[in-house]
Amino acid sequence: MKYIKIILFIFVLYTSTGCYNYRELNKIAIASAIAIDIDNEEIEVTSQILNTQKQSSDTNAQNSSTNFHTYTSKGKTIQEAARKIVLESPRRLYINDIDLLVISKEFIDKKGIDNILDFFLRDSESQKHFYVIVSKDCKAKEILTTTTPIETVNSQSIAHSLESTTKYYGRNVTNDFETLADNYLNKKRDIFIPSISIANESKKANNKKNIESTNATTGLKITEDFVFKNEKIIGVLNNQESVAASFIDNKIDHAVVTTKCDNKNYMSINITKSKTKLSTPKNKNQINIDVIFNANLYDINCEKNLSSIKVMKEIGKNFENYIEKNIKKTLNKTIKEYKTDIFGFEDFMYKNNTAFYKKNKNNWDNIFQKMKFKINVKLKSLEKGNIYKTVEREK
Amino acid sequence: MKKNVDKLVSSIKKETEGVSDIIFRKKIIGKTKIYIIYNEPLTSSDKISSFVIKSLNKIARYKNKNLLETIENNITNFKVQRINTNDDLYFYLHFGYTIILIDGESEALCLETKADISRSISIPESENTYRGAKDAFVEEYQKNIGLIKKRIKSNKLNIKTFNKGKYTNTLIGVLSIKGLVSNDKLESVLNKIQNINENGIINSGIIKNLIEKENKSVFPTINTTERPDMVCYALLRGKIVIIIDNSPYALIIPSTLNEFFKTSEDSYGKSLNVSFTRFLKVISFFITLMTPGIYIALITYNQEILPTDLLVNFATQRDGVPFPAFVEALIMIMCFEILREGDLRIPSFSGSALSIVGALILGDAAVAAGIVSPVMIIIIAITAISALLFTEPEIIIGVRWWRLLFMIGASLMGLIGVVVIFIALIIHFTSLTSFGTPYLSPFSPYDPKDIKDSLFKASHKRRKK
Repeated sequence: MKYIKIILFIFVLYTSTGCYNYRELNKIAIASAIAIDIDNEEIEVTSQILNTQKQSSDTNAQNSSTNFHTYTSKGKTIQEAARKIVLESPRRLYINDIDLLVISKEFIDKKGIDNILDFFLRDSESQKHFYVIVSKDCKAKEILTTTTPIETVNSQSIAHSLESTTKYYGRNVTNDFETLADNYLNKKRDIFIPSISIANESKKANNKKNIESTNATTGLKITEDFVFKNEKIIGVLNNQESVAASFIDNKIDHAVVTTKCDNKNYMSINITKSKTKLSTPKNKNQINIDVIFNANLYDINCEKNLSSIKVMKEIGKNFENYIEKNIKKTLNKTIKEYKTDIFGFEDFMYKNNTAFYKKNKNNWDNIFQKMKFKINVKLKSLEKGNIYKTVEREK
Repeated sequence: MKKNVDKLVSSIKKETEGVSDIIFRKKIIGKTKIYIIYNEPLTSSDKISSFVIKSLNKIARYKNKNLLETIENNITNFKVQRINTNDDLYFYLHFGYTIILIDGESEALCLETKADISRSISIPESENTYRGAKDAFVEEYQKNIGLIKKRIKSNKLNIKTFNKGKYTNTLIGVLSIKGLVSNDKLESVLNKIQNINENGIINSGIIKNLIEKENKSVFPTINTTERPDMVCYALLRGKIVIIIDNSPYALIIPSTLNEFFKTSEDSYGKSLNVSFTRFLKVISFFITLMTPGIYIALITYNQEILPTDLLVNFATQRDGVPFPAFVEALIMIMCFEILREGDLRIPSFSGSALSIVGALILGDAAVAAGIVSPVMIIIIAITAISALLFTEPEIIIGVRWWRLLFMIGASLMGLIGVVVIFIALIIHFTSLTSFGTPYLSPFSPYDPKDIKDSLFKASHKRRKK
């Protein structure tokens, strides 16, 4: 009886889980990225397969093979196209570890993103923490075939580039698939996805020769954010607006902000810490955005007496105004112009101003357009760096 | 015993016909015939000549009617005993005593004349420490007891002795400290030893297997040690220690899993430093148990857990290996176990050949030939090294079975399998007891006092509280 219990116990564990699938590591083709295009009403799936062939043990030998290969196949559904890859590749496609999903803008314009979400969410095994990016002015396939310098696998190059953009540039471009799907499907907010394009496009892009020169002729570059209204792309946010969007979303780690210090010259600060708090007064159609940040002064090109507190305050004020203006502009653009809710204000009002939201639920679109924003940007501390004055040769 | 000494001697001679080394020496004192009987290999000829024969010659001059009493009073020997049965006679004879038979007496005298035929006390070999006492038990019961009594000078040290084994008549001593030991446990151990009925007891391992439920678990429930200081720590913690003649290993009862993580050196280190070592040992216990299983699970079922870079790394190394990961791991583990076993048996002068074969052929060449992947070598190496942290060989040897189970579980069900086997292991541990003490104590059941010296060691002051 004791043994029957143990066997039953093991059997239940055995059958009640999804992660049961034997596959030997050298029988699978590990995909690092998937690109989805549309071609004459057929879905074209390109997968970037990492090269796991054993390299020659002689380290001096020139590597003859590239670090990845791409396979492209077409089908009526994503799964059909993805499975067709076995017709070309000797191994079964394994997409559970991908870093990146590239969707072409053309695909979204024609089909939306619903079916892509369905494909990835339905798969019980795949992990959902990969970055999503839209290819701009080119096919998604071309993004994956471009060779990149420094990082040898271009999907990893893009993923790392996205990470450092978020961390050091202040643009929030690292929404992983899961957050994106969560926001989109649960109607928490409209989504925006960063785009990528091929800079200096040429025929060499998918050739190893591209990265043999010190200044790679062709490269990949993260460009503006595509703003969605429901499942269609409705507009773009440029670099500046994208940083402002991060301010509203409280996603700023570091960012460089540049503004004029007098009529001709510019100055920059590096934001080291930033915190944004949203609040709403009860029963009012208003959201207060309070930004508090610390920064280092990095670059100042006009003569100023930095040892004076008054001057420093003035400089600080300059930046505060600049950021405030940007935030306002971005809010205007998304709400008034594109009529989207990429910051999840509806969700925010529902949670924090429930009575007001419920009262106006049926008329929300109009109310939302009339929403007031009170923006308050405050520079908590501005550090001067190692020198107190602006650099200038003594006369 | 017969009063007629000649008849008695002839009956003894008949009984010990096959034993060639028993010496019967006839001597006449006054008008009384006496016999001196001893077992030559076990006795010291010096002692017999200078303390028995010489004394007897002196006594011959005394005028006393009762010879037995005279000898008993005047012989220069520290241990004189009267015996009156043949069984006792044979017992002492085989223990290296000299027997004096006196004509017309129903009692005989036996004198201690044992030869020192054991090695001297040397440094411990299997439980080396760089701090701590450097003496170890030897094959002589009295010396071993001496090493313990030297450390515990108390009337409360309770030693109960048994002679067991039909042919070997081995001396077994059960040590405990009155007041610290639980009487129930002592009673049950004494009962178990009392009921032993074996032809021979050559070493402590036989007793160990007889008194613990041998095959209920592969994990040991009795600790063995060759260090007298470890024995004394154990006694002071209320444990029962069994010392067996001719065996340099003492048995400590009861021993829980926690005991196997401790060393005698722990008392030297600061408690924070000892805690680190303890933690390391616990971690390596699980490493040696589960690493191959987890690795197999990760690369055959649950690849999504690995970061892409690592996955590609593993995949590149696995490229061209013709075996499934399970078989690959099995090959390497078998190779390692063979090497280890070989290393234990081989004389030390050919050890270097073994290490060259092991390192070069099984490591380097196997990888170069594409039979195993380099990661697997690393996995097996870390598994093997982690096992070396334990002094009790039984626990490492026991772990091998469970390691294999983890591997089988992983190869059937991936990480789920590892979890299933892990739960089975926990069930097994909790159901196990060592002479009534739960094996996982002090963790389960929780013991607030002992927990202070388990996974981490609290400072001396805190432990006193």
